[in-house]
Amino acid sequence: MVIDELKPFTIDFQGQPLTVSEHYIGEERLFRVLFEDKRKPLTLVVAMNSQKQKFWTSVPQGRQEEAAIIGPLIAWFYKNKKK
Amino acid sequence: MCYYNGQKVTRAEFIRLKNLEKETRKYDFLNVGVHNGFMFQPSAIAIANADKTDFELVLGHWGYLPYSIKSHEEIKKFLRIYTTMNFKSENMFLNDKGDKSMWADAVNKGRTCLVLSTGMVENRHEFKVGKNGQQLSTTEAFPYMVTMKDREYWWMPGLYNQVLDKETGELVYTFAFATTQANALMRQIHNKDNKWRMPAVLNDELAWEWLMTNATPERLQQIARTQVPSKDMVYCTITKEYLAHRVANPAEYPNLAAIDMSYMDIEEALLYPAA
Repeated sequence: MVIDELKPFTIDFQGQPLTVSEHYIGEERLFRVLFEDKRKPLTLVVAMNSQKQKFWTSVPQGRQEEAAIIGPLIAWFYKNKKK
Repeated sequence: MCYYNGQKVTRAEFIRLKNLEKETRKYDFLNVGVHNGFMFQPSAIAIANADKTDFELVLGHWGYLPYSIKSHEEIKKFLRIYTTMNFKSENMFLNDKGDKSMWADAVNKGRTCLVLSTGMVENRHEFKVGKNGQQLSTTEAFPYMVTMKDREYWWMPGLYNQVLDKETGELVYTFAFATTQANALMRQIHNKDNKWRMPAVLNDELAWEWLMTNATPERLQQIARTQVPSKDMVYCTITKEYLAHRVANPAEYPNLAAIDMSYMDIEEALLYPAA
């Protein structure tokens, strides 16, 4: 039980529900993703590349493939929430 | 300061905070006789939920980190330099130099927690004696386990910060607990360099106020200064292997002078009694 986080939400990922929670650690906004299968939880942040383009990445780096797919789903969730 | 703390609950069926209770058997981490603060290992803390209607026992790393740190190596380096396992209640807003303290952010944002304790280990330092009976300049440390009379566990006021472990991607709680001026007993036991400090130990009412209410920063400082009377404490000397075994086993040191217990016969004058 994590007490001081915002309320977690669920997104659909390839037919599986993922539980996502948003956190603010210092100045940084990050997302924790919990899987239903045995995969390790994933921490995602939005970073900026040398061309000043934003992209989703994992912390620690190394799960870029998942970050590139799941990150936009989180962004989509927030866009829909605003509507 | 106070760097060794026990968290071993064996008798109490419930961990209680006023009318709230948690079943002890549900937590598999309340079994450590002595935590070593220098190891940056997980220890039990109580944290309130967002609307302060309930609390939960979670694992946090003993050693407050003010910001996320890149690697475990860097964390150890930080803790070696800054030893943030405790905070002085006097320094919750300003440090000794008069600058804004590292703790102020946690205090102002209400990031309070309660640190569970079942025994505090402190070393009493006595000068060694030479072959001719003369006092040497070096000291020998004698460890004591200090517990509270008629209480299996108690709470110490803590401050926490949640940081990102960038090596694992985990979010971790890091925490420290408050120290205050030592009472008559702890002045004798925790006597190194005449710093005379001890952990603040809270009664149930103050623990509740620290964690479950939105007390003002000034009130939080008042609570963090709380001194427990000497006569409410129980002590014994323990073996010097308490860190290796993480267990506090009683031991006798025949040449060690007894503690002056005259505080039992008088009304102890405390600067910051529970209020």
